[in-house]
Amino acid sequence: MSATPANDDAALVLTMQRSESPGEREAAFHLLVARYWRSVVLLADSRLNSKSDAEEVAQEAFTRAWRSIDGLEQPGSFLGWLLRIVRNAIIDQIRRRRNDRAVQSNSSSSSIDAELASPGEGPEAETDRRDEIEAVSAAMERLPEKYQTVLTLRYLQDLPHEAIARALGEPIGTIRNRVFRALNLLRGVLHVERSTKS
Amino acid sequence: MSRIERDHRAAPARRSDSESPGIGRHLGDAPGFDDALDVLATPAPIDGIDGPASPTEFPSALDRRGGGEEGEHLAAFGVSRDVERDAHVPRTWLANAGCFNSDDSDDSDDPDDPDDLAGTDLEAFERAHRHEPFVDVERFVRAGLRSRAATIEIPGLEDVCSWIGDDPRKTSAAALARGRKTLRRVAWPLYLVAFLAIACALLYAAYAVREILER
Repeated sequence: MSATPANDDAALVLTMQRSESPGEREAAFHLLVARYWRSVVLLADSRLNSKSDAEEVAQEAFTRAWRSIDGLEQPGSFLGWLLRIVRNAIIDQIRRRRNDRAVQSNSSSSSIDAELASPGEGPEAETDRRDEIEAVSAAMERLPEKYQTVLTLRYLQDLPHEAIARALGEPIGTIRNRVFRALNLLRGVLHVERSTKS
Repeated sequence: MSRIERDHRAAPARRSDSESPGIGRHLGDAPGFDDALDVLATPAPIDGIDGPASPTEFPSALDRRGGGEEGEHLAAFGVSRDVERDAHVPRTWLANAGCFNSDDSDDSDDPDDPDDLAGTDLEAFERAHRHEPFVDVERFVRAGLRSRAATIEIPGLEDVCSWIGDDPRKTSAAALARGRKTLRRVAWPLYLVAFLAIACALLYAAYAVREILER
């Protein structure tokens, strides 16, 4: 049987829980951080509109996860557990921010993904692609959190629907539906924006 | 103007109306168009790509299949919208819908010949099916996420160690959590022992009181 992300997660979590060697525990933890760091930062960024705040939240969330990992009874559900910690960390950050009232601007400078770049296309086409990507990204940030989460897990983490369902503790049909609806919502938002422009 | 907009506004941009009316230019009016739509109801595999289950399912079939791994090739359809540039375009659909270019050099209708499909009006094709433009959001979401993710640097092992090393509760919290877990595991025998101890103490106390009273 091939190893699924959940299996990998479980093995790493068990290493962290059972290993007596601090080095092994830290290495296992680092692998989990490396696996989910970008998704966590993106999810936080979409709520906070600040990359630096998002990274701070991600660090906080992973530190909390490190502290409480021994209490995680189902190692295979690490991702869902982590996402709950992230959500709480985001809420804490928003509360802190309300006190500070210091909202930073989002300074995400998107680079064109090589996946979309076609050879032989000029700079104009590249600019158009960048525009489309940014339009979709901006529209995505306006989606409800649950949709953003499934899209990030599906298209950034490349998790199959089953793994997402396991991580979030939802039926697979719900997850499929949520991805479908999220894409449809984005399509609708883009359609409206395009109609408004023209 | 964005790429999708441009594609939508000028789908058959390669040739003008006067140069190449093409059957796709007037797709809805094309003879046999309705029959072609019926043909679409039958999956017609070509290059491993199946046609949609029914004409009305054209975009939704993409959505559904595009949601899974098996739909990657279908999801590519909405991006290029150009059969010459994108080998992923399900040419069967175009051919079955009668979207052959009538002005190609050899005047043949071969779905494997890009020239035969060039200049077809995908916009009209889509309008006929759903009355709204098809945007391959899925692919752009993936690209957008990856593009944004690429700007995020993953912390190294040293960074991670420094966070948890900076945490003064690191050792004590981990030990505490382990202690709690162990406690949970051994809790019931402890409760039992404590209960027995208290019971014994009470019995002994009662016995002692009785002894005193008897004297």
